[in-house]
Amino acid sequence: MLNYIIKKFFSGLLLLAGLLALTFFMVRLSPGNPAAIGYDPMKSPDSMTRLEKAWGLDQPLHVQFSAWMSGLLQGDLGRSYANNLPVADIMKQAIPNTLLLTIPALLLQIIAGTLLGLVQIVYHHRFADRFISAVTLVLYAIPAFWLALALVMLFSQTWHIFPSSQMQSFAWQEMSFWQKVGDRLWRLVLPVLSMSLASLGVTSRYIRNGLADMMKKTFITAARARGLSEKRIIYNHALRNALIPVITVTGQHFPALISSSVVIELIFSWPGMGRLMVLSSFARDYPVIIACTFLMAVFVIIGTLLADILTALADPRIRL
Amino acid sequence: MTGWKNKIVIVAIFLLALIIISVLVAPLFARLDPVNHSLDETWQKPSLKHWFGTDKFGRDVFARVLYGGRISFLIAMLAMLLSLFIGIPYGLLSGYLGKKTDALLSWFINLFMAIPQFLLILTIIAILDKNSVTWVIIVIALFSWMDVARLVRNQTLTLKERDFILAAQVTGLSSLRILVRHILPNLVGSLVVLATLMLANIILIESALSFIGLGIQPPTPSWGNIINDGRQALVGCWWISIFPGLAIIFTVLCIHIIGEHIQEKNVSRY
Repeated sequence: MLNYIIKKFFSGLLLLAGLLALTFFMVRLSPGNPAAIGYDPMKSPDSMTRLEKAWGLDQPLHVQFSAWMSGLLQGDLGRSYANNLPVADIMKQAIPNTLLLTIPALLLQIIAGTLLGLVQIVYHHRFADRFISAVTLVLYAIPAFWLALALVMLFSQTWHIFPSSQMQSFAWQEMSFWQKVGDRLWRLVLPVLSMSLASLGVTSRYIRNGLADMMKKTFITAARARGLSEKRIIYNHALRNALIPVITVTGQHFPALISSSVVIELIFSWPGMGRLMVLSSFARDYPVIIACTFLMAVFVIIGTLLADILTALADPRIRL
Repeated sequence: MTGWKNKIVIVAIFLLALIIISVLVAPLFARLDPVNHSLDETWQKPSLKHWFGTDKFGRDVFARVLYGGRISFLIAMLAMLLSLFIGIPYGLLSGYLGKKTDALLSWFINLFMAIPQFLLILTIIAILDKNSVTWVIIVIALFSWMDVARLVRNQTLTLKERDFILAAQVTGLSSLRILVRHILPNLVGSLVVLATLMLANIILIESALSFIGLGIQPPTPSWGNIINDGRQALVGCWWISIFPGLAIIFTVLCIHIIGEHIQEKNVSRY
């Protein structure tokens, strides 16, 4: 087992190294000069060259790369071009906000998806099964951003139940700790719902199809022959085995969830990484963009690694 | 059960055909103009004259949705074809050559797949600062070919060991001929399924891009940017955002249903 983990870990590390190079060169090689933004030749003709010099953009690309790499190894991600703050500080604010959004969405997707899939298999080929299939298929086709707008339209602008944007109330400063927790949770409802509803179908369909395949296996027939109840067979025998592909598919689906968080953060003015990334893309804030892309990739690689390890824990055959 | 399912597939095919045809023939109707604005008719509710209502400039939302569909389909089709064009040779090479070449090529696939696809597309388009249709197609295809390559690679890897390929090798056929004439035809079934799913996926990606303001730029309509247009008046004028959204949902849903159907047919053949 340990060998397996170490092997996976190193291949992840290798992938990370490649990603570093890829993101750096892709961002730097694309046309457009960040120093040219807000450049006014009438006011200060040499401001552009001064900025380029300060940011090291006048150096050859490989020099820039090695400078950035050595900074990274020392934990220094550079400074933002836009506001000259250390990139690490900007990221430190944004990362928890994104996780606050994606982790509940992921959990909701897994739990609700599993439950739906279970209901479908218990009522296999009956109305509930077909109905849930149809609903999840439709949900799967809905763009997350449109769903978010529809939810905002109904729940915040028409019925005024949930706030339509921002992470905290105006009265945040005067709130007690529990009020703050409540406020934050209340504001999480719409973004988390719009993120996880669309991907609910992915999990539930996997569970349903996995379970349906399981139910045809001989060990299930054996359990039936032993006279076990159908419920017990589903929960104790089939579900355990059907959960393994769910771990894998959740790992594979994680990048898509991160992607959808970008649009959701924009719609709900949620100050997370996705929003940060879009805003800095517009501003050509290279250090922030590179750091964001890299960090998201790290999340994805860690997610895949975790999924691999969990799968191996659940199914010993994979470790071989 | 099967009859019930077949009926749904037929409805999906019919609906998708209807959407595609109406999108194609839209320019034949002079009354449907996506950019013509009339300030007497701003924020109009859906009516017989304006089926989907009008927006803040008095433009007909129905016409905009139809013309937006033209752009969305065009981008989705071309980007899909382009990624097939990149992914198929890549996967064939990787799977057929095997060994170290395969290890290296697969590593690159993993590399591209480690960064969330939408994020990558979004960043590159934002940095390139080129929002033309051509660039959107190129960038989307550049980050969508990995699925094709992986599928082709995996299947080539197993096909390669089959007897008929061995026979072809023994006969002395060139590798290129084996790949094109003997391996590729066996991949068509699964490639068709993947291609349909990609079509749906690219429609979703493009609409999200245009929604953010990075893809197709106004006044050229696209399903994504019409939805964005309607954001400022969600409650009073729901029709601007809702109708293009429904267009996306119905299109993607039909494509999914049809793709799933082809997949089931594929599986049952073996």
